[in-house]
Amino acid sequence: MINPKIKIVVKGKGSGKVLKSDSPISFLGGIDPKTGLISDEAHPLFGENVREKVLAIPSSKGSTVGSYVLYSMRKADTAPSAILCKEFDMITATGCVLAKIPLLILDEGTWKSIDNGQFLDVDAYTGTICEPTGR
Amino acid sequence: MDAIMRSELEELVLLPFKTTEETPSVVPIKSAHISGISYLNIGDAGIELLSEFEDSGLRVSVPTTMNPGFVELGEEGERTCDVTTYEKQAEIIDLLKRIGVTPSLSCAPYFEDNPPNPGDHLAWAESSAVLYVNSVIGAWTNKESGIGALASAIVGFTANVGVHRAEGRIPKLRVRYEGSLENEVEAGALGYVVGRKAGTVIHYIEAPGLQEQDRTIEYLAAFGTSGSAPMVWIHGASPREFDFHGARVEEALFYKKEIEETIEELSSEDQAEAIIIGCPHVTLNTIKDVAQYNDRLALPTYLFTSARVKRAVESRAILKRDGKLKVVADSCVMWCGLRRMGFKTVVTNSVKAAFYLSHQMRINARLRSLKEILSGEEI
Repeated sequence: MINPKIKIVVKGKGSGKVLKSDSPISFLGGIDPKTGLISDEAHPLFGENVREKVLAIPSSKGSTVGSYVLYSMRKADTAPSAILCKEFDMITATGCVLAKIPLLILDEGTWKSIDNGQFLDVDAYTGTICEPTGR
Repeated sequence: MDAIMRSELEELVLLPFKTTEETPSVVPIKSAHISGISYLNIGDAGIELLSEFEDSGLRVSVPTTMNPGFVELGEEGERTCDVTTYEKQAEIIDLLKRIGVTPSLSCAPYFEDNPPNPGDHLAWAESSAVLYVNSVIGAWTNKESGIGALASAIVGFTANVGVHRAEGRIPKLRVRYEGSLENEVEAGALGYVVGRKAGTVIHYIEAPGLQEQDRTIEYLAAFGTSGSAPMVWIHGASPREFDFHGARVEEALFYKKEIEETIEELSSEDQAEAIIIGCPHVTLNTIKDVAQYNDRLALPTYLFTSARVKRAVESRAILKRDGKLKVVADSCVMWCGLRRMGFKTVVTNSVKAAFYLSHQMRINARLRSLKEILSGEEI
């Protein structure tokens, strides 16, 4: 069902296991683009790999170079399959355009309804997220 | 490879309107400042992307400056870096020059030849510079992504959202510091903890001692490391005082203990091998001050600044020949030379530098104020 409260920033489709945290992430210095590993020891998702995952973070923080990091991840084949945020920020949005990563901004209710570790299909053409059928 | 169209860049600039119901509107910009210059940060993928911009014939339409890179240019720089990295960095700078960006290579462009005026609308990246020009000079810029600032520089405008509107500059958090800041390291640590708390929210802060310029600069740079808001109202340092008119906003109080814990958390206990000053880039006056202490410096000391300032240092013979003090131009403190010389631990007065040195270059940092560093005591 289409939820009008979900905003589509970058169109596309992606599926994967959800990596969710309520802590913003700095793409520069926070994720190693060569491997996709979250490298900021202070981040709750430290040690997890974002490759082909649905990354759910409130927003990005820190360096304005973050968009390049997302682009580098696409080139190195380590990019997440989709990104879900609570707040729009230009660094994530620009990076997602360049790296062709679907990006949605979620309302509070939808944000709360998704769990770390669950599988999700993200359709950023229609702005819908759902659990894959047949699982 | 497909050519990048101007219309695609306009779309990129208008991205913020994807989340609102309103009709997109734009604001013309006086200047742009771009980040994402360092080869360390953008790598080969970044070179590929900038080549696409250059090949597509895209050129900037407003004065545009660039952040520092990963190396110092020229013969001296070539000696402190491996050939491949040097060439890749030179290629990035060359591509941007062909797009029309001035090779200023400084992260403090507000002290260089294109300082903004109060009320100017800009499209700047580099979080510390964005925070400084909004909060201290009174210019208007969102915290653009490096590539978003370049897109705006080409099309000549940015999205009329966020702090480009008066209502987007209203603080929603009131911060007080219970104590008095002794130096720029404490100011940086306070910026770092407030950034964690404030996130995207613009705050007003009252902190005794924060008004001194070096402290304001380090506070804002550290805030930009952990937070994402593009401006701060600093009591005594911002061009005007914010009047809450009795409006109730969320309040937060920070204590000295949190500052001390943060310094400890970000600081290494290992023996340092070098001193790193210049995050953000230092002014000529700071270099003059430090040069007076040349004979008392306990370790090799590197001061990071623009090529313009370095030329002034050289023409006025401020530094002793063969002294411990070296001035590095064109480069961020995330400098190829640190890796080349194999430093594992350094001393710095910058909380932002301590964060990125450890996260990006795996170099530990000890945090000490410039005064402590120059005292000649064990650091």
